[in-house]
Amino acid sequence: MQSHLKVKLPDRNNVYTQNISMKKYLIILAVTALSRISYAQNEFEYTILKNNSTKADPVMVPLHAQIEDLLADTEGVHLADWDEKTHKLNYMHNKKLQRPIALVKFCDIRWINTLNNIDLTLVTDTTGKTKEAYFRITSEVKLVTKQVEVKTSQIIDIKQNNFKSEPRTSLRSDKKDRDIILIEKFVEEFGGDPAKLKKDNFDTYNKRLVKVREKYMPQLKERLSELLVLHAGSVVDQLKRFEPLNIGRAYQVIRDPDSADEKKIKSVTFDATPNDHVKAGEYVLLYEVVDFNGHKSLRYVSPFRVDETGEKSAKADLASLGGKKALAELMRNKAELVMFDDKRSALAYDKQLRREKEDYIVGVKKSCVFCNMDLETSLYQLPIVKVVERNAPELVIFQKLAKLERFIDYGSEELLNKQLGVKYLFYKEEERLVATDIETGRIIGSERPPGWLSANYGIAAKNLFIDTFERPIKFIKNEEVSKGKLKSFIAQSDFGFLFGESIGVYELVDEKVGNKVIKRKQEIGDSWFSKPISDTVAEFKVKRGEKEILEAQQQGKTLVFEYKIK
Amino acid sequence: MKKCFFSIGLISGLLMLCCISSYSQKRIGVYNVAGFSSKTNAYSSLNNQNGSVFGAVPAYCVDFYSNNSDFITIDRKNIYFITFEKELQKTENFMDGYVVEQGKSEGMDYLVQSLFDTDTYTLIIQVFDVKEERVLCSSEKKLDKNFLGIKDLRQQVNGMLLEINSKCFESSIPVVRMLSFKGKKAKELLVAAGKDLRVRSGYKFDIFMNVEEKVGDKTISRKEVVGKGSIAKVEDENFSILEITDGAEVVLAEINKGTQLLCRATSK
Repeated sequence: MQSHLKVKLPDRNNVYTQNISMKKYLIILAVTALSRISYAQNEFEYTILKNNSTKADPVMVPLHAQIEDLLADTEGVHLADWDEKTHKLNYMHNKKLQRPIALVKFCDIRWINTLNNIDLTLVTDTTGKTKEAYFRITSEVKLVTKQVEVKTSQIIDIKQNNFKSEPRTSLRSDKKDRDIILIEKFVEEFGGDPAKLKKDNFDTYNKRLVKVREKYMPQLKERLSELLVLHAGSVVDQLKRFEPLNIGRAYQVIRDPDSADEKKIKSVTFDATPNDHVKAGEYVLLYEVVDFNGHKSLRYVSPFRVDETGEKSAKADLASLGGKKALAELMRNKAELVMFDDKRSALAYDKQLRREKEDYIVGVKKSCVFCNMDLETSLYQLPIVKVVERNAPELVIFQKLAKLERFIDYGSEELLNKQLGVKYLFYKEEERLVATDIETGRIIGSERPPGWLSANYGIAAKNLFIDTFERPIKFIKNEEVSKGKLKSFIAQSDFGFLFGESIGVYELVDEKVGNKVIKRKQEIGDSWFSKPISDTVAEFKVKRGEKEILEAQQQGKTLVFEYKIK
Repeated sequence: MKKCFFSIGLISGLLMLCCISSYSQKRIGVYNVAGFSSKTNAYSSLNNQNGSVFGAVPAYCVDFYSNNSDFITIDRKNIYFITFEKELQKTENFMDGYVVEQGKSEGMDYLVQSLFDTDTYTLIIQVFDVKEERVLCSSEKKLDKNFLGIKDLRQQVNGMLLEINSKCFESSIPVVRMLSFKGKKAKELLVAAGKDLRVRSGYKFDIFMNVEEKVGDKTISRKEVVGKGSIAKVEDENFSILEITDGAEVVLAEINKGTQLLCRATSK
């Protein structure tokens, strides 16, 4: 049974790669994820706090045990059973703490119940008579992780992964198939031939199936429990990945004569020295610095694998198949190219390019670490927002540990007294997203999140920031104009864009109201996010008002671009 | 000479203060809803059902005032979190990190308090003037119900708050201009109220004009209602289209005369 990684979209960290095919996207994601494995390469150590709320569940017992076993030998990583309600920690493996803990990864592991509605597979002969009847079990594990920096209490990563067994539609190949529970006496169980019953009287068949399911439930759970253990490797692999702590510098790409030739180019040289600690086998990421009418921004190009390191430079090969043509074109066009160890460093550099000075430091009002995750994730995805965790008193333990005298030689002072104070408190109230300024006690805004099935707190938060701090979405340039119609344009927002977002285009007209002149917005078009360019710049396809927007531009009218919230 | 400069400085300072205060935003805070019995004329606790429905009223009030540029809404519900966070930031752990400024908490000019009469199903929202220590004004409404229970409570509360706005703070909504008419009847008006005032389609408004009435020696301003209308479309933060439902001819005649028409929300 194979297990595969189901990636939740959209995610701030993979925003660059969403315009490409899913296959290529997954390759890049896997490769870039490798560049982030930083355990045991730093002067600090890491802790995984595993929520024990599911540990007593008989279905989960073997999976928990296997995860604990697999993590036993990982150097620099400590594992503790964590009680989310009482905040108690129970360390496993008795590993001695060698250096201070710099990162804490909170994790919550659950099984997805696929048994309550599990269907019965019926194999029939040519006359329609049942030959075999069996349940085929699909196993699925949901892993939610949150990484918090001990130094600042800042949430630096939130992820949700679902590990699921491949759904198989083929007939069972062998009686020993692990995902199958065979119903030996199916005629007895159904009071007749189940296939015929299903055909002739579906209601009765369904009622009897419910009873059969109930009878076999203990067996089904036992088998599911065995199947869940197969996901332990994938879960542990995710748990061992930690975001880098240090923000690395931008490496400049050194051009050589072959680099403009797409047949010859396969690697790039960049100015990493031994001080940068770049090692052969590690992955680095190539970006292009793009200038849109004075708005500089990073555009993701491709991942590279470091091949050689030297005194003055290092050489890295293209990590994915293809991409040579695009790379050679960039070299020919003398594009400004930079490389980074990881995406966090690239994001920091992108902020520098945008001359972004300060982040908005926010906290979420909630009652537990994994509560209000939709709101917290939405805020975490915004490029200039730092989310601080305030519901984990466990962090204080690690802050106190860093103060121990025995860690002084390990640079523990780097972890001390650098906590981030919350400036804005965000919370949900009666279908609204509300934010309060901690400094003054003022409510800075209240927004209704759009969305039919689930509320989109990301857009509500962006709107709230945009309105409160007057940082509107900026039009950068027209991208495609054809036959008097605007097909697409480039826009920039300090709070970023995500897949599926739509922005309205409005014309501003003056209206005299008493002695005042107030700007009135008249909607003239609609556009869809079509292609990410960087964290804050994206291309939008015009959905409605292609002609009207272009005409308004040509007539010099003032246009504004805003998220549409009814 | 020094005295003269001092006097000029003092006068100009006072003038500036007057200007600032006359244009400054009003700080408003919202308190929890309380149960009330008109039979016993005493406070009574809300039962679970009423508590879960009417517990939302303060949140609707916060939502109403928080995007209105005439007001600054002060958060009193989360005072515990705010105080906790500020105290936390005073500790050594934040010495080289990021902290907000201490001692900048803001007080309130007005308090909004809502009462629910459990005997008559009437909601009362009142605005209390903190400095004057008196109720400035209030709005009372027997809540509309249907077979499912109370009809859209948010909409009913917003209507009451719009009414309070015009009563307490003289903030009438100006009619900007007429958008369409048929024969002698005005059809649609553009009014200066939009999303920021939490106006929604279907909200009902009185259209009125200010007329001066001589009462003895005094001249008193009277609001003469000339028509009624309901919101057909909310255009943006500041503007909506009002469809006239009553008094269309009078409205057109007044507009043609150049009369400044105004609107006020009506919860009826």
